[in-house]
Amino acid sequence: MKYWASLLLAGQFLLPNLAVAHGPTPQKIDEQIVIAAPLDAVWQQVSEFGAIADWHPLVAKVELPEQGTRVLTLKGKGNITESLDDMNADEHTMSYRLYEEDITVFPVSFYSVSIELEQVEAGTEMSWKGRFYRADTGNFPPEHYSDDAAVVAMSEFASTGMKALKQQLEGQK
Amino acid sequence: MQLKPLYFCLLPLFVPGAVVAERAFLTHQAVDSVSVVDLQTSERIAEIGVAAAPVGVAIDSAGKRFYVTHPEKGLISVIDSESYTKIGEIRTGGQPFGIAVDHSGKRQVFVADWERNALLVVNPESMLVVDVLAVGENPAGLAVDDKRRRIYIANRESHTLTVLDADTPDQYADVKTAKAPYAVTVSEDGRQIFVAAIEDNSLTVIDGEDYSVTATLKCGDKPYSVATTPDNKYVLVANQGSNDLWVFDLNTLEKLAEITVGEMPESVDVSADGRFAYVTNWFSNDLSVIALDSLKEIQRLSVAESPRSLGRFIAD
Repeated sequence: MKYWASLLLAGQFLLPNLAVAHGPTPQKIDEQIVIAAPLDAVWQQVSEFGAIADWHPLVAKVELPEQGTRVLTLKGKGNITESLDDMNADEHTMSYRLYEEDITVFPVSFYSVSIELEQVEAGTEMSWKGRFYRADTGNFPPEHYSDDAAVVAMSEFASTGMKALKQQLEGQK
Repeated sequence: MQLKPLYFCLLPLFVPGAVVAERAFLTHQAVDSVSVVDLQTSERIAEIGVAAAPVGVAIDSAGKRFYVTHPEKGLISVIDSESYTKIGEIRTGGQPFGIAVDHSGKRQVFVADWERNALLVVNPESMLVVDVLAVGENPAGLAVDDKRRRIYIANRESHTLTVLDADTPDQYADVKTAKAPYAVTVSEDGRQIFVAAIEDNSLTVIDGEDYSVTATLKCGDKPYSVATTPDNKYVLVANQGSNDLWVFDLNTLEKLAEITVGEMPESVDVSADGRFAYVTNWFSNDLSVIALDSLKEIQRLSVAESPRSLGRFIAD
């Protein structure tokens, strides 16, 4: 009963009655961009887990309540929290997951993302790969909490971030 | 997570001494289809359009049919495994997810209903749900021990394994596992049950007699699937976050190998002769073939979009 009591206190009874965060139908995004900058320069930027607001235009600010956890404030929206799963400086890969969702801020109930860098002739290829679940994992989601809405939000977040990072790093040359 | 060069694919497939042509039955949730791969020729021999978002699969070799769950639609497709045509549909409601066939000869199919926290018992002849049994929260994978007449169900959100009788509505145990148990398998001799706990990155090992937890084995990142070999030699765990298959000795529980597979592996199963393991790679759209004598990936076959195949997906 304590669980329900805390939900009521938090005012979350106003949210639609959702199934648990991890529904049965994952979606994927697979976005790539080539940045004309050395691998190390790109890695230095993206691997700084607490510094995403420095290059991602949709992130207003970041707080790090503890090691490996970051609270993103999305511009004009609110907060979601991510936690770091893996950081591999040799392979230039990192992965993290959504730790605390708020579907009114970002219409995805759970995601895991991996970012991978690879040296290519033109500089560095950056990949942003995500596996995620729509906001309402029941069988009758409203449109704004549907698979389509989740895919749009995830790919927009990835591509906006990568384009901005590209501009920033290529401008520095 | 870096893509490795797929030089395996350039080698011609040579499987010495393989007698039975087994097949892989793959669910492609993103494109509403099921495909069948002949594992001797590596050819895709069928691609079948089905209802939306198929996930779980179970094969009834004796009955020459297989079942595919559609959690988004509250139904199960029944497909002829020779002609690859649809035989019928089982309407379950809820969100049918993991599925398993009773191979004892008794005509029963067991289905985990993710949304309604239940195990559904289906009569495959009448295609009707004949029993609904309460289990833990958000049941995902399940395993049936045909000989010892037990059903094991992994309840992802209540962090437990429910043990039910396969013939009566009796429940024997509700075992606390590590966090977020998703897949479960039972060794061929019935003596050990292995449960993959996604959020704890571990395998909970449970005694098949008294249902006590006997060990917790560290796995890779997000272990999504577990299988054992029919010779009681190996336990195999597919780790979705670390893109690998970990191999344990089933008796000593010692880790023997970490084998890199494709991206975001989803499900692992083993050939009937215990010589090969197969892993569906959900993100990279391929099927890894692992030789269990050398514990090496010998091939990676391209398949249709987003293969999942929750359940036992290899059969002759």
